[in-house]
Amino acid sequence: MIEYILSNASPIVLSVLLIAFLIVYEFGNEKTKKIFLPFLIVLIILFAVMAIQNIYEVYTRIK
Amino acid sequence: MIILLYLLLLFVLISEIILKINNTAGVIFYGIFLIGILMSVSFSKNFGKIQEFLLVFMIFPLIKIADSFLLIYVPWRAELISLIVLILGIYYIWKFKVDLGSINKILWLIPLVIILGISLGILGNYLFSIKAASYVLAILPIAILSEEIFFRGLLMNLIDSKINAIIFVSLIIGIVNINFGIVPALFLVFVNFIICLIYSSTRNLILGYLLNLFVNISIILPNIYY
Repeated sequence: MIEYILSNASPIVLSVLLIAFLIVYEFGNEKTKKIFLPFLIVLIILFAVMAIQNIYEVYTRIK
Repeated sequence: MIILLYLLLLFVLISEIILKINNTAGVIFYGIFLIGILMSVSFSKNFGKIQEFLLVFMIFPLIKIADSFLLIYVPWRAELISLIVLILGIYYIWKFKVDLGSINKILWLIPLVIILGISLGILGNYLFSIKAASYVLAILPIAILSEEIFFRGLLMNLIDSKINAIIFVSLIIGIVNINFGIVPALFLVFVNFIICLIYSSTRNLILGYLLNLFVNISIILPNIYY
């Protein structure tokens, strides 16, 4: 069970990071808010790449 | 600041060792590292030079995590990660108004730098064994540009003391590349020490870029043909 969780940890860790960034973005200082924006964009891009890759994998399996 | 620098070095070294033993555990350690820096930056009362440095340093664990997660074709992944580093680096250089120095100064050093780069690369060629060298060569210019912008342009300029900046940047590049082995990592520390010395004395990024490029080209080229 633990091995299964660890091997699928990538989306979990990314989600935790994204949530942490969103919390900071919401509750942080005014100054840090704007400065953290690029990090959020990068995390979203990474998520998008992972999602596209996942969809493509499922598509090829069905095909 | 000095204690902070060496603490960060220690953290990165531990994370790299854990990453080499177990990929997932290393990534989780990097994630904790990233969240720790994030919290310390965002909840500090004033936003000074140290916070700027920590914020820029946060790019580093983020890139490591992205590198382990994206299971796409390796050249594309390397290209994407270089582009992310480049864009974030340029954004923060613009945002923090970092002075990069001039790029049209002391250009007569270029031939000397190229010769030095090629000779260092031939020396280092015995230490590295690179597989799939042709695609590494293809992504090399942009990877090195992002490395120069991030490490030399951004990190070195955000550290106050020159000597600490040179030692920190060259050591961290060595630690990042520790998966090649310890002797190649030491060689990279040596090469980057020279590049940092050149940059801090001339304030010209082009010289460091060319030196790094020619070192890497002359390390990789013999791997393609033999």
